[in-house]
Amino acid sequence: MKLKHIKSLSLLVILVILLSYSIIPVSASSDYYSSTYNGFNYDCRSEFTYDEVYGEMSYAGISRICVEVEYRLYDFSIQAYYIGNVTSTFVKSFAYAGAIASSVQSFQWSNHTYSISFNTVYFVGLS
Amino acid sequence: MIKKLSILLTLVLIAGCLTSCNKPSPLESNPHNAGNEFSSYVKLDQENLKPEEYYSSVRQNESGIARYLETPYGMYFMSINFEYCIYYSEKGNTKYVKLCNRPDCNHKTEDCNAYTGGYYIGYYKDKIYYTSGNSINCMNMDGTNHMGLKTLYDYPDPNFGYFHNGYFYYLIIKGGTVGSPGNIDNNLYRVKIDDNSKPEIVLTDDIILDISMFVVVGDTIYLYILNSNTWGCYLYSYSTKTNTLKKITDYWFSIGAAYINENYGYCYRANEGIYKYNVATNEITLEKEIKFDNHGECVVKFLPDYIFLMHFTSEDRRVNYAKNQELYIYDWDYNLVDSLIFDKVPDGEYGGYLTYSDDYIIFSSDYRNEPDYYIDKSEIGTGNLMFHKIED
Repeated sequence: MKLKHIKSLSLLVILVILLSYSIIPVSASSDYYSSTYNGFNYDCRSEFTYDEVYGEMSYAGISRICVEVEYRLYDFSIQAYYIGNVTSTFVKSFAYAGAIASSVQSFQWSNHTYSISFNTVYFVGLS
Repeated sequence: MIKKLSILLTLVLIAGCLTSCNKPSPLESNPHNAGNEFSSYVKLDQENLKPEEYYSSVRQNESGIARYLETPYGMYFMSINFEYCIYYSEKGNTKYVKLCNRPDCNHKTEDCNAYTGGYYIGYYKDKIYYTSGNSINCMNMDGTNHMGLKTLYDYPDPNFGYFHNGYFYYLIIKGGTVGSPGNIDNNLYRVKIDDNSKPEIVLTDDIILDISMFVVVGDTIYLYILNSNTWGCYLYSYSTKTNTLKKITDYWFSIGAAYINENYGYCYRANEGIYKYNVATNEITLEKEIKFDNHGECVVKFLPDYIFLMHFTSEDRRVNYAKNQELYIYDWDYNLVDSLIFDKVPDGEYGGYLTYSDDYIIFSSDYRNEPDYYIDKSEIGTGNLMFHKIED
């Protein structure tokens, strides 16, 4: 009886750990993700470098899609952080949003959010 | 019945008179913020009031743009550490606290008094103004009464700008940052923030696509245009009176090491020294030679009473750039009067000099967060200069 209780508790702990991993953003300098939504394929490509951040998405269905990229960069010439945000707005088939640093700026991280019909289908954080 | 009604009416009138005599100030007017303690200590400092323009003009000598305010009520700072909240400090060297005291608030939604969701803040006539995406909003000095005011342009491109004497000056930056190759809008705009007028174009020119910063001084707008060959800037001026644009010099520096007022401009040229620009004569002269063996980079702030030079000794901008900073303090005769090391910045982060007030120089060990160190100006040159921790 006691063993069964410990087993259930262990499974629960493992489940919680797995669930928490699924909501923690991935950290990398580039990322590719592919899946389906309403039976149609979609692809999300995310890139982060010191000089450029972008996200692009393609979707085979008829619903509108959106890419939003939030980023932080440091500007050495004015000694300041910027927090920025670019978005593709909702478009069909292919969406792109990206930012390019000037020669005196350096990106620090970027968060990429991919949506179909106002539903977020994928999120990744890069640095 | 009539007698009862008369008594009731009289009581209502008396109550009305009493409440009108005790009209709540704007600082106490948020209906869902009854009992807010901020209302009791976000107060006008009557003794040390300065002209309105002092508080509402853009602060050239701070780190960052439009994130720090000195107001008649105290100091305000906007955090960008995933929260976009405004912090308040009575004097700048006292603890910075979020402009919201609701214990159940997560400070991440619009019903929070401190939350802005934006990047730039400004002060004008007893209100705090802030941007949120492509719109301008305002709030009372204690964080109550947030109001949306204007939409500047169609979503979604970001903007860069600041509040200055009742206007918001801005650039639309499709490329996501100032100076980005992706920018296509070559206009400098401005909009009055306290009326119903629409945005207007102040200047149109392709140099705006390479801009690092612009500074409004009276009727003149100075434009710091990136020069990728020198890591410095071209300096232009544009007169809003005569609509004339002219190049002043090929080698200036952006606002991290430059300052301009109505009579003179100052800048530090890397490993050369401090240069002075005379607005009237259009001459630029070397005032003080300053060189370092290990140059790294320098930030120079031209404050009313001192010149602060921060020497960043890291050889690589991307590896602990702000870790070790040597601070040199000069008087306005360019004599070195004191020096100090700032070594409070965590690995991989940026921090250091933030801004100043009458009595203090304010630092942040991490620019994302609220200020946490200060220098007491009265200690400069005494041999006892040190960084003090901002505490309760």
